Amino acid sequence: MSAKHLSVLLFVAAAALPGRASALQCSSLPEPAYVIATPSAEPMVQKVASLLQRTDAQRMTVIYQIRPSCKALEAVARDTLPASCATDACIRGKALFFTLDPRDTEPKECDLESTGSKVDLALSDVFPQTCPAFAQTAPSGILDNPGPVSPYSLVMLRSATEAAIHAEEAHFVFGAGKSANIKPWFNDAVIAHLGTQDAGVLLVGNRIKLASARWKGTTVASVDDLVSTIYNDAEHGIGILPTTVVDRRRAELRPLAFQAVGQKGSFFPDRRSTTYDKQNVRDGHYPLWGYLHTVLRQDPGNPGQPLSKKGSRLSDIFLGKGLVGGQDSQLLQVQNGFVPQCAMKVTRTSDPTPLSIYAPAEPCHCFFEHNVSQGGNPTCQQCPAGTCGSGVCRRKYCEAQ
Amino acid sequence: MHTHKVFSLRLSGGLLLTALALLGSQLRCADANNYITEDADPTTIGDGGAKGDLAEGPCFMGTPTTELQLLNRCTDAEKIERGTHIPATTWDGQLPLPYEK
Repeated sequence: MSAKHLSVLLFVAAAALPGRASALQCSSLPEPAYVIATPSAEPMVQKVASLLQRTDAQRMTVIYQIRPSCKALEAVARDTLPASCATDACIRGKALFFTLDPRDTEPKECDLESTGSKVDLALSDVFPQTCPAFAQTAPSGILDNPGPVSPYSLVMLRSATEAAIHAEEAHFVFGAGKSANIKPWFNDAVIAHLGTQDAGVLLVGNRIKLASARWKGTTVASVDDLVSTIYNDAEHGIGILPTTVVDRRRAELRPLAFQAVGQKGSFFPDRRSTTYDKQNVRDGHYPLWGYLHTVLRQDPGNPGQPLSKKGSRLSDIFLGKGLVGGQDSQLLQVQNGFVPQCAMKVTRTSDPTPLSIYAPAEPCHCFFEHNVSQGGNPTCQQCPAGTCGSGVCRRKYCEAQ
Repeated sequence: MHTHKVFSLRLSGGLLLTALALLGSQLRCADANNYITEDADPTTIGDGGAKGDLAEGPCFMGTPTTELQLLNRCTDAEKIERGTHIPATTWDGQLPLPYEK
């Protein structure tokens, strides 16, 4: 470790000591990059932040806040003033970052600028037009890139006995609550969601035909708050969460199978309730998902190009392009619960539009299945030498084309 | 003679109606040709009340061109079939869902 790195390490470690954390300014951290991200992206943001701080040749301190998708979009879309932060633009308050010390497994806290810190990258699970603020007029001056698929799930506690929910039932449970008298969702206090700026509410709302202004139940501030809320009544509690989070907490949470309007039977996001293959998301049997979008400010002097170079690098990582800390960023997507578009067989052009069939130019079905299920798909062949009897060798797997 | 004529007319009419009914059923079959029941290949039963691949009802086996066909395409995935829990006093299943707008 060089003297420079050691001094930075000592500075960051000292600054992060208890009692002094509140005094640490985020802007004093080396190579700061500001990110505001939807809760589904938190596991990947943490991994990328750690790699960029500790392993990558081009070090960067990712300073991040986890907020609902539409808040994240607004932080970038409303940032139209070159030297200051407009209302609802930028991020304020406290943010998180990883230190250089690999023994720090949890992020530390720092203080953002009191006037607001400009955001290099926003991560949202919805198209801007899905957000109430942009429903009538699409934001201008931004670059919006739909990336991997981020599935959502209606969840109960593992100990609950219900296994499925129909779209029409969810319409009444979240639109009327207890008064709809739908078994077993009889307790308004434990019908929980993250509010009408949250992608889960907006994406599920599209599918259960529930307008964003009609949501009832209990609005909570974070994923942990939602889980705590449904713990208050284990048999009746229900909420909406991204599967990137739920899959890490399957021991305590039960994702419900979902039956869409007109569908015959209810399906889990995965082939079975116990697997992680997202088969039903990928082939169109499970419609509760959005794309993880990277959203950046456009350079006014160079339209089509991002204003922030750090934001551009981060965007590429979350879109699965290139390496970060020596690791394949597409593999990071998969390991953190997302489904790369190359593993999808269906697509949609906006959040409310119906699903249609999709054939990726360079499919990665075998790569995906190998990395999410024990043993992978037995019909897939590995190609360590780079050649396949049939199909194309890609990321060490023979893909059909 | 008159009775015989009336009988012939009734017979012809009956035959015509039968032919029309057969034609109608053929057209419906043609429409449903892409659907099969999933009973053909029963395997396992899933947890939590799931019926797995034993689930009854049609599934779509053609090339899907609509979302409904994608949602109902034949699959080996675990499927849960149960009736609705919405009481008739809350919604009759026919009227539009009330909180859409």
